[in-house]
Amino acid sequence: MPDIFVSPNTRLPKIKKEPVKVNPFSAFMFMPEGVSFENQEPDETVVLFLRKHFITNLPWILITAILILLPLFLFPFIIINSLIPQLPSSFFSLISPVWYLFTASYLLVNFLIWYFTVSIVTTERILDIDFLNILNKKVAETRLSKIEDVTQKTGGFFEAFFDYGNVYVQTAGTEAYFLFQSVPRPQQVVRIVNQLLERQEET
Amino acid sequence: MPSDELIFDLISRLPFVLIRIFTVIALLLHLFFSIIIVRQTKIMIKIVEAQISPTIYLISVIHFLISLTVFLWAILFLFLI
Repeated sequence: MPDIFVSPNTRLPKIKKEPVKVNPFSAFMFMPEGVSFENQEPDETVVLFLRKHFITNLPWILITAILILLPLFLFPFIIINSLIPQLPSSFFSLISPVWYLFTASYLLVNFLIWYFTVSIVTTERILDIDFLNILNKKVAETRLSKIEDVTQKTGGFFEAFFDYGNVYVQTAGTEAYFLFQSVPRPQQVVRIVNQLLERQEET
Repeated sequence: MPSDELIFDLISRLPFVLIRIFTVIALLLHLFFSIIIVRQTKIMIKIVEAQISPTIYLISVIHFLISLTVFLWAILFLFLI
């Protein structure tokens, strides 16, 4: 008997077999090459690899720039005007390296927190790795089969201008929802996750 | 009186002695902090593996070495020079 209706497969995500080479500092990676995570299963493919949009780093980048530039003007000003007469000018040969060491630490810690706070969507599950600070981290994961709803929320000038926002993944697991915070192209993220869910249901 | 002169001399030197002690303590704490950064980076690159991970680990090690250098320079500057 001929088939009356054959469901078109056009809506399913087209997962390329060959991963795409991407910028390692990118905040939005679709099928990235050379990216893996702890406890990744052999047949599991990373579909989305997300970080906070790079523009969210602007506050600490600006503070770092100020901290780098400040001694160039402040220290000579203090020495020339003898604002601290008790302090010998040779003391600034110690203050300067200490100042720049603390600035470098501030820069490094903020970069590491941004770089390693990631959300990963694979063909099997989603993972949310949050580094709250350099000492505290939170790793949450759930199977795609436990996902109930995916929503996105954007608002504000910067979010509208640079196209980033929050994606909420509601689950039936112990973790009530997963938050992909300030990720680029949230609509696309929601669409890809929904397509993966459809694929999961069909299989 | 010699004892008054001694006390006055100690009081006048006290701020610089305190600055020296606090600077060394702060840099020592920072040295421990940079060791923690190296250890945490090692853990992080195991959780999320990427091609650039060894470079990031190297940067954290360089940061620790700079921290150690500044600590040694501070001891040299404050107590020996």
